Amino acid sequence: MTRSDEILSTFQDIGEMSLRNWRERFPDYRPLGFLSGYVPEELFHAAGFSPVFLLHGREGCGHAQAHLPGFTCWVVRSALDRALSGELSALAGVAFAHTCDAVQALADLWPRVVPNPPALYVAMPHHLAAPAARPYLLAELQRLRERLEQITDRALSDEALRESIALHNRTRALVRQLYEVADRLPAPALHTALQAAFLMPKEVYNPLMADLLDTLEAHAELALAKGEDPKGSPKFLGSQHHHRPRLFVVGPELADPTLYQVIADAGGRVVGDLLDLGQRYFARAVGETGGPLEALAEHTLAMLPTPTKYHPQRRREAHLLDMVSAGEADGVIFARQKFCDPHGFDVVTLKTALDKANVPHLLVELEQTPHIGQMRTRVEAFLEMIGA
Amino acid sequence: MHYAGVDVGAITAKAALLDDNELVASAVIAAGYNRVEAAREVLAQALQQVGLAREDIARLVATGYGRVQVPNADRTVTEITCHGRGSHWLCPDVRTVIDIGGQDSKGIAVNGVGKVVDFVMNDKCAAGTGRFLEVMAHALEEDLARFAELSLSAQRRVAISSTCTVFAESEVVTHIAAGAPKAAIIAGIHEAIAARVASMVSHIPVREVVMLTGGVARNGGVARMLEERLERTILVLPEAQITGAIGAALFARDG
Repeated sequence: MTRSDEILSTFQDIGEMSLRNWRERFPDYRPLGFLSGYVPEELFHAAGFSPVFLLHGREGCGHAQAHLPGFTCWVVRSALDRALSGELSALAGVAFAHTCDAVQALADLWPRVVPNPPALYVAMPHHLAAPAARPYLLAELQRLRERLEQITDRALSDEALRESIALHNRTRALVRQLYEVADRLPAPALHTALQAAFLMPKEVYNPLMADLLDTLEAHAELALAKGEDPKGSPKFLGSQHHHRPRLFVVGPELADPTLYQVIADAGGRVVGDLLDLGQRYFARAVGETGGPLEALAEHTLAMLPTPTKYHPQRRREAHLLDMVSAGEADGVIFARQKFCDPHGFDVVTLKTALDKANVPHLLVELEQTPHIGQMRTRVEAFLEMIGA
Repeated sequence: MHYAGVDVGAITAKAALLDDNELVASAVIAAGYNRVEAAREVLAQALQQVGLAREDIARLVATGYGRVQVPNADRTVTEITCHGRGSHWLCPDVRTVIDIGGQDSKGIAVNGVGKVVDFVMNDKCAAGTGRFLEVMAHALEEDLARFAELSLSAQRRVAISSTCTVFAESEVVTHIAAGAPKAAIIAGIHEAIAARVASMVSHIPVREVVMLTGGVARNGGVARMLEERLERTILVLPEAQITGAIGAALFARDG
């Protein structure tokens, strides 16, 4: 087993691990769950917690059904399910920020039906460029800071926050590097490594990622030395396909790992994404000068908006077209979570823009348990269509 | 030289044999539980018709839901691409293919050389598929051939509003209990399928010539009601059910 395989296998294990075992695995850290791409991870980290995203699990106890309507997405349903089954009781809390009505509803419901862990909430402005957006978010972050000080019974200093920002900026830089080599990664490694960033303490994740990137870089150099094209080397990628179409994945949070495997099996490779917790999340560093809380607010408002947020200068369709063109993508795969309305509406706008630019696209709907047979047929037919 | 295409679907397995010019043999059998055996058997039946052996086949391409289970295939190609290719070979003017199989229904837009330019596929739901017809025919105690005939002879159609096979079946039971004529219920069922497929297909540009392929094409009732819904003539060829297998054989012939 090579060093990169070893690291990827560690990431994979953590992706499959129940949160019941988190503290045993990382005894020096205190986990705190979160469920939105707008939760300021640094603030929680500076208060002494390790933010862990509540990625949807495959299993559920089914208890959430009693509290949520049938048209609630699996992400929200599974978070409540896991809380009611006791899987999350080791978490110090669960933080929510408005990304959609379903997450909002869950945040409201949580204190009534989940005895432990407690809910924490960050109200996000919707019009990110409105004059009130910055002072509003800043006040909200200040309120959260005070709440965390209350909970931990100690001051949350600017110094601690600056350190947390530096640590998270390091993660961002590493993940950006990961995307730079995405087209050289074996099968679903991009997803595995990305997912781990949301499940592990950053102090543990960062050195492993740095190590992984070094190993991959060494591989690429080796391939170059042998006269192979590291970007398309069939040997390095373990595939018999000579031309592997370059694809972009668009959707909420992180798309299902099955989709990445199906894409790889069909001979394609994911070179970038427009996922709430994907490339957009890591694209910019938080400013490390000036007031740290102000820098966090600026950063949150400057990120590419998710579908329920608005910024007149940061249009998702324009961003997608730029990314597709810069990444020389051959096509786009929409990984839509069933019952996710904001992303459902977003697909229409993005599809229209792609059609105008003659970029082929495919819509795949994801559910609790993906229908692999149909997904394979769709993805393979799409690759056949775009000329694999 | 001979080339084979084997299409293993959710309900049936199909084989088509081509020589350098034309279709020389074809076979259709029930796919059953053992897809590997079904693929072997359907190919053997086609070979037998023309007195050939497996060794006489230069290349074999597998397609359909069970494509990976076809033994000794040289490559696999999805049924979407194969239906596009096969329909173009049968009629070069085809621009839209509606393939309704046992488990899936698909709308496929093809260009002037039979290459797929866009497609839509049903969700994981049996409504609008051959399985829906089978379930309904069973509920109404009719075989599939007579089921289609009855739909064409109906004086009126009851409305089946459910888009789900299970709920539609209970709706049918309600109509039976209310004493609706059998033909009217059957016509309503066919209309429900046509409505569902037509709405799905409208996501790709429906351009003439429109061809209906897949096992359900053998059902004249669905074809006629699709024509009504799409306000277009729909071409149904005798090779409708083996179009995917023909497409696969054409890919085998390409090498």
